[in-house]
Formats: sequence, C-alpha cells, structure tokens
Amino acid sequence: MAAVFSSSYLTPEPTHRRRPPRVLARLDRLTKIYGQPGSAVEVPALRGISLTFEEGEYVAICGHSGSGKSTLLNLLGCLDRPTSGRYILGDADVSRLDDDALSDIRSRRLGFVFQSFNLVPQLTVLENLEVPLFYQGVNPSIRRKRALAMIEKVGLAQRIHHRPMQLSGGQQQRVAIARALINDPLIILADEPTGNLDTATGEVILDLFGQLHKEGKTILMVTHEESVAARCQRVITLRDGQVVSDVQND
Amino acid sequence: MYLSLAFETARLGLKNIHLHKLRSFLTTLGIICGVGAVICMLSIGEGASEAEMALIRLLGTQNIILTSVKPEEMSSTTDRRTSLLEYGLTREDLTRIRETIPHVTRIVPLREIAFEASYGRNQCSATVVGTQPAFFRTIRITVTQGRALEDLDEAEAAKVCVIGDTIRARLFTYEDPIGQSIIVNTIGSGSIPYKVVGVMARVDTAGRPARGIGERDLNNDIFIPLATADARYGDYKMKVRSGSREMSKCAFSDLYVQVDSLENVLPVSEMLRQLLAFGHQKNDYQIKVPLERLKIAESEKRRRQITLGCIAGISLLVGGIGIMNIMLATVTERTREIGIRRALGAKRRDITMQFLVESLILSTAGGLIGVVFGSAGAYLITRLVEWPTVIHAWTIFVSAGLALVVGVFFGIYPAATAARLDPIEALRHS
Repeated sequence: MAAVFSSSYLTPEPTHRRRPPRVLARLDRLTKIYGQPGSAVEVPALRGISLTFEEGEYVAICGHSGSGKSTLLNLLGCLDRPTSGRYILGDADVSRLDDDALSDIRSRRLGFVFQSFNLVPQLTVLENLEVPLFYQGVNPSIRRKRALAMIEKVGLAQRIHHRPMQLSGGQQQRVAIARALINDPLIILADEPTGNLDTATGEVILDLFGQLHKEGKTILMVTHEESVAARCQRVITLRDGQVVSDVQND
Repeated sequence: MYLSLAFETARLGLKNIHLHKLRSFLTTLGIICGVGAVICMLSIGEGASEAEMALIRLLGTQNIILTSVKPEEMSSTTDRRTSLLEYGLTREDLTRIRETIPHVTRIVPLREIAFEASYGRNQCSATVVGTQPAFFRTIRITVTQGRALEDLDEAEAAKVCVIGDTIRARLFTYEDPIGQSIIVNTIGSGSIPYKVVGVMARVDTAGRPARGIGERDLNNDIFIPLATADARYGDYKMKVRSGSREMSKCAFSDLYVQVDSLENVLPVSEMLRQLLAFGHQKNDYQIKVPLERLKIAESEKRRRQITLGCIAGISLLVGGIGIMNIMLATVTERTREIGIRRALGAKRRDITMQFLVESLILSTAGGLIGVVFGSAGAYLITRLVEWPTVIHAWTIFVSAGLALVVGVFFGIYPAATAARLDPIEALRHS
C-alpha cells in the first residue's frame, strides 16, 4: 500500500539503496483558511502545501511567526482538519476523518512534544507516560511495563513517582519525549521543544532527538532557531503559508 | 475491557477529588444535606401515618363502630341535685340492627362500667368494660398470656377478666398476673374481685405504646364478660361528686358491627346511619368507620409524602447546582489538561466520561453519607422530639437514587462543555 505513494516511482532510485524508503506522510495541495470561507474575515494560513515525508527523516520546519508553521503542525498532528487538499498518513487519508477517528490516529500513530512540556500536573511521571496507552485501551500491566522501559531510555528511572512540578525543565521535556515515544508512533511532532529551555539543557534535548533519529525515528520539528534547524537533515522554510525552500543538509 | 476502562476512569476521578479534599467535601455537603433531608422528611411522614394506620387496622377495617356519646345539653343539667341521664345505644337498637341490616356477621356490644381498678395496694385508672367473648374475634388483638374470654365465662357470668398491657405493667410489675384477683370498686355494687385469666398484647404503633387517637386504648382496658356486667351492675352508673349525684343509664357504650366483606362496609354504614337517625331524637351516638378513616389516612399520607419529599427535594436540587458549579470551575481550571489528553488521543466521550464520573462520585458519596446522616437524624428525631419515624428500604433507595440522578443531570453539562473544547485552543490555555 505504501509503495503506491513511494517516491521511487517519481524519482530515479539511487543504486546504493537496498530498498525504497517508505513514505509516511504525504501532503497534497493542503490549504487551511480560518474564518468563514468567502467572507471578509477569511484568513488563509496555508496556501497549498505539498510535501512528502519519508521514514527516518529528521525535518525542521522553519519560518517567522505568521508563516503558517503552527497551522501546518496542527494539521500534521491531526488536531485540525484542512480546508482543502489531502493528507495521507501511513496508509490512510486522514484529511476527512471525523473527530473520533482523528483521536484514534493521534493515540496510535503520532507522538507530540510541546514547547511547554504539557505534562498533566496531577499525575506522576509514570502515569503521564501511560496516558496515550490508556486511550488506546492497553491493559494496565502492559502499560506499566512499557512506561518503565521508556523512562529508562530517557534516563529518569529514579524519578518515576515524582510529579512534573518536582522536575527541572529539561527533565520534564525528557518525560514528554518518552511519552511521545511510548506508542511507537509513525512520526514524532515537536513544537519548539527547546523554546522554554536554556541553551545547555536545549543541547541535551537536541542530542536526544539526534539519537532518536539515528535509531530510525521520523521527527518533524517546528523551530525558528537557525542553530536548531542546522542539526536537522532536511529544512523546510515557510512564508505566508507556502513552502519557500526545502533543502537537505549534508 | 469496558469494565476496566470504567474502573480506571473512576480511579482517575477519585484521584482528582482527593487532590481537592476540602472543595470536594463542600460540594458533597449539598448532596449530603439534600439526601439527609429527604430521608428525615419521608421517615417523619411515614412514621406519622404508620402510627395512625396501625391503630385503624387494629380496630378492623371490616368493622363499623357505634359509640354512645353523652349529649351536650344533658350534661349541663347540674342544677338539679340528682339527675338521671338516659342516652346512647339501646337494646332496641341492637335488636333492630340484628333484624334489619343485611351483611352483618356479628354484633358485639360493650359496656363501660368503671374507671378504676386495684390489686393489693396498687391502684390505677382503667376502663372496665363488659363485653362478649366474640369481641376478641372481631378486633385484631392477641392474648399473650393466659386466654381470652370464652363462651363459658359468658354463660356462667364468671368473675374473670382479661387485662391490657398497661394495666399489667401498673398492677403486676413484678408478678405473674394470671390467677390473681383485681378489685373493681363502684358505688352501686361495691368491691367485686375478678380473676385475671389473660393479658392482651401491647398495642404498639411505630415502636411506642399507642395512646389511642380518639379510639379505644386497649392497653388500658379490663374486659369482663358482658353477662357478668349485666348481673353485677346493670345499665345504671352512678357518679358522686361533692354536693351532687349523677345517675346515668346507657345500655351499651359501643357496638362493634362486623360486616361480611370490605365492599359492603360503606353501604352498611349508611344503613346504620339511617336506622339510628330514625330511632334517636338526640344526637347521642357516633358512627365510626375504620375503613373510611383508613382511606383518608392513606390519601393524606400520599399528600404528606409528596409535600415533604418536594421540600426536601429542593435542597437536593440546590446540592446538584453546587456540583454543577464546581464541575464548571474544574473544567475551566483543567482546560489545558483536557487539551493534553485530547492531543494524546482522548476522544470526546473519554473526556465526557472523565468529568461525568467525577460528578457521579461526588454525588454518590454524598448520597451514601446522606443516607447515614438522614437515618441518624430520623433516630434523633424519635429520641428527642418523640415523633415516630419509619425508614423504609424504598426511602433509602429513592433518596440515594435521586442523588445519583442529580449527579448525572448536573454533571452532564460541565462534562459536555469539557468535551466540546477545541484541542488546539485548550492546549494554548494558560
């Protein structure tokens, strides 16, 4: 199924690759208009975005405020629906799904990392990790096992019973990353993950993302910092709701 | 699967409630008071009617009671030194009823003879009544010790008696009354001893001895055979006060008319009314129909229950509004959490359930605590104010169920508000 959308049909395949990279997400002339369409208050946020994301890519989405990058991230994260165009995630067209189906996609296929961490304050670290699995209906003992394995991975195993407020910003963001990974998502969506952190802590988080990239995870990161974008494999720049550049870093 | 999800949602709800103990308690307080009030009110209503209805049932719903009443204008003729009052139901009445009224299975006459009795040094007020043995088969009273009056007692005009429970307690506090002799003293006939052959069961209504709401107080009665009363006392009664004597003649103080079936009670009572109106110039009798009173009492009870229930229900409603208020505040306070949960895959109905379960926990807890407090309140009312209270199982189920309904009703709107939030907006909420 994924092969239908594979870029291998469109571009000549490099000979050294053993298998064609799998396309995880494809945007086809995606637009988003806020306000009543056709009325005076109509605000176009995205004006026809066509992009393809392959498995294992580490992508930075840059742009000034108002360029539409947050809107794009919301659409990619299935938190919102496009006004027109198609968004194919994995093997499903998610641009026309209803609210329940979108919720299901979010819980099974997507991982979110936010600028302000967004952990549930009254839950412990471990319980926070379990939230996406809870909404998938995973049985509690399996949930607990996977959460423990994941917290180990981000190096916070001794903090599992702390509450988010008892952790530093960097630690909270590591918990958030663990939470984004717990459902083994197709794509990890990060919205300025270092925006609320000092430079040193930000480096730690970016190193963690780098490590995830090496493990083969697909990461889309919205940022406006040049230095952050420079660490990514591919940089997409938006302006006025349109893609103005899409370059591969070396 | 669904069960475990429900369980987990409940656990989550409990956790959030636990985080705001004082707030949750204050919210619950409204429901506690509401449910407590419903239970207290209903138990008072139930208790009051129960007391009355038990007494009416004791008199027998198939019976019609005719009672002699001393007419007003005659009792005021005290200017004469000696007067003879002749009033009440007569032997002619008895014969006419027996011969003309259909559907009557039994007529039991009663005659009150004296109002005092003694045993040894103990003396107490009592109503000494002559009656036929059939009386014990006409009303629903059981004899707990010894036996009731028998036909042989009547035939022999034996000097025996059956006493009420209050009499037993007063005269025979520490003794077995059976076989002892009670002395009944009257001016006309002097002191006559009666051997106690039986003690009647205590007439209780709602846990306390009945005091007789305008009816016979069986606890305070001493029954002797009517034949004995005829032989020893006759129809005349004399009352002596300083400076005057009063003689009165009254054949029967009461006639208990038993009707063959319930449907015939009201027609027969109408016939009796006409028959007695024809025979009596003065209004010296009364017709009491327990069935009629029972019906009135039942409809009154329903009315009372509805009124009291509504008043108490209002406080439950106020409690519900309290829950809604707090839940709305909680939703606003936790908007960001809702956004996070939505982003991580919670469906709208998951959010609805989460908040609905929380309000349900609050209202159910309030309901259960309210049941305890309401029951304790009802007990205290009986203890302190001496009102009889009765708590039925249905009272508890209804009030606890109402709390649940209130929880759902007032929890739905806040929960739906929470579920309707746009996840993007909610995530941006600070």
